[in-house]
Amino acid sequence: MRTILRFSSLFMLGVLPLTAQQTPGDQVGDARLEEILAGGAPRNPAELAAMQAHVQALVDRVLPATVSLPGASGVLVEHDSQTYVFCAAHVTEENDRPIQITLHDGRKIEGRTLGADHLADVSLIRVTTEGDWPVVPRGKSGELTPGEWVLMLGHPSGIKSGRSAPVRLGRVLRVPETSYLVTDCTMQGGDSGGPLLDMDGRLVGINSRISRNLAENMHAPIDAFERQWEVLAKGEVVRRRVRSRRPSGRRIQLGGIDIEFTDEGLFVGPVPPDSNAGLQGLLPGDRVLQIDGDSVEDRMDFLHAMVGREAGSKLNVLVDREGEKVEIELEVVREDR
Amino acid sequence: MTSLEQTRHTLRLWSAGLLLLALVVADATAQRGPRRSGLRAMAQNDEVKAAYAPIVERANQSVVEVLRNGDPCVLGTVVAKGLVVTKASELDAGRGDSEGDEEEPEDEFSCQAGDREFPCKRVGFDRVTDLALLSVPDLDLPPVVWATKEPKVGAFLASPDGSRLPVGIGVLAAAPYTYTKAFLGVQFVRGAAASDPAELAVVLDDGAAKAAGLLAGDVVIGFDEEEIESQQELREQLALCKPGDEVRVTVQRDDAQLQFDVELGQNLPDPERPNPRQRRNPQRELWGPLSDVRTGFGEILQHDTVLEPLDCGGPVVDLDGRAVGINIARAGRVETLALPGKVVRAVVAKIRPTDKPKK
Repeated sequence: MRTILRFSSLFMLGVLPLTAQQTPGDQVGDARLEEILAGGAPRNPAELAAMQAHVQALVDRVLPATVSLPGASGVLVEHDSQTYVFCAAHVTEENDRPIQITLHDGRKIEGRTLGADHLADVSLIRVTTEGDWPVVPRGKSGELTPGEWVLMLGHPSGIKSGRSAPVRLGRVLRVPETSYLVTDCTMQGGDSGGPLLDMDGRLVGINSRISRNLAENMHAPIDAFERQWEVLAKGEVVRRRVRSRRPSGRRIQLGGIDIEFTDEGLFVGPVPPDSNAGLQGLLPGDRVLQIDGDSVEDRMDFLHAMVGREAGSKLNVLVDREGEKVEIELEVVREDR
Repeated sequence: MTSLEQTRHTLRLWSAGLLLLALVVADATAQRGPRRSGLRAMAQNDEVKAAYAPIVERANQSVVEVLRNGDPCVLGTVVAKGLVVTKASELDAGRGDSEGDEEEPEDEFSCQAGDREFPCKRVGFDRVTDLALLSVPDLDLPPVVWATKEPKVGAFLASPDGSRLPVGIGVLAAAPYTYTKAFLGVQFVRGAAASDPAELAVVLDDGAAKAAGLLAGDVVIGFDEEEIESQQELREQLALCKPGDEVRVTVQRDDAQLQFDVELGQNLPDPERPNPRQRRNPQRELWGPLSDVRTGFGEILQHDTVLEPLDCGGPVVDLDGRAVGINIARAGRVETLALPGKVVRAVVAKIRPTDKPKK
């Protein structure tokens, strides 16, 4: 493990030769600080102090670009002289609608939702209020390595009067090629859409979802924006599955997740990180096929499958994810309201 | 389908409707494949904690473990000779209300430091901060050293518990803030979703809404200038207000739209829960237990350290090893709250027994 970490530190040094921040770290040289930030553990109080100074300077730079959206978060980014909010698809949901953006200092500006990719859980909002808004630069999620330190911001439990967007410091735990980034920056409902930044203050991810495991916080990789830019900027919406017919309009909520009943079957709706359910396993657009081996084709089947379940019991859900069958074990909890 | 089957279907449907279930993914270990298991936090692991060992050395001398009937209950911080502050509600956790005119609980408390144990008794309590003051006459530990400056956002913090490595480490998440929730004094329809319209099921007596003239059955559709389409939107608007704020609430009542000027209030005691602050929300505990009392402290420091409720009551120190506050609650998956040092000192001054107690 240690060998791997050291290796990745060296690797990162090779990739990012220009990261020197001139941080005052008394006895700690810039090279050593970079080594820590790129995936090492600080060994003593002096190294902690150097790291702290670096992180605090970073916070000053990225906090102003962190915004609040109704019930969620976002981050301001500039692209071709236009300011956008980078956000999560499950936050914006519909395209081409007005949305209010609350800046770090409480000012409110207007935006309009553009496209969303529910596969990657990324979406775009165009800022429509004229002005010179604070932004963060974009980084490359593909260049992250496990162990690397990252900073995360958002509004857990929603915006609160008098509180700036809480920052969290963590490390990258997993960098999958196609799926979500995983860090131990603990997030909570309301953080969705908020930024994950590398130690140079560059945007590398967007808060997406959590699991019950505190160490499992998932972020949409920033590279998805680049990959899907055309789609997002045009205002298109990519769903996991295109529904040719209108949904029946019937919905049921389970732990904050909408299960949508359409003529084609049962689909998992948007999965916000505060919903508990499906946080790790279920993805928006998954089609529910079976619960504990019994096929579920309509609302009735689904409700029957859920009747009499005891809190704490487990059930196996088989879902169709873009043609691939995925089995997910879920635990049933009672939700008190 | 026979009529019997239909009846059974209806019954089942009913039970399904009554059972509000949430599906929760079992933790990572339950997932398939070896890569998913064993995913562990790195930012707050022992390797990083080790760097803090010299930092918490001094503060460790001012931390005690409060024992209830010999079992670890919560941490305590020495604030003066023979005086320890701790988190009051944890002393009685699981025993119901910690305040009131009840008789003294029969639990025996003591303070443990290293392998020494000292008898102690409760001599003070402050409801707002949930701090309790313990008198430990035989305790010879030095008082905690307070930081002289307020920490800056992003400050590295450690929570010592008397052992070599801190029990938790993290960063200051936001500048100290005061957050008092404003309340309308209403309850929504039970079982309704956050995205459902903000229909009032109950308008509580003595609440702000009642005083202004709102009625059960009203649907809130406006809050000052903002249109309200859901409970969620109403909650968000409320979250931006303080008790005492005056707002104009628009409701749909039958065919009419009515406006009311409401002076927002504080939380009201629920008759079924004598202490309104003592609430458990199991949904929030899936990633570990939260403190029973976790809101309404006045000014607080929020940090991202992962602590158990029984790790509260101890100091949280900066990189100089000086205490910036006392951990007072784990309030959420990401929210650990500490009372700033100046608040603790003011409370202690207020509730500590005078030198010449009445006999």
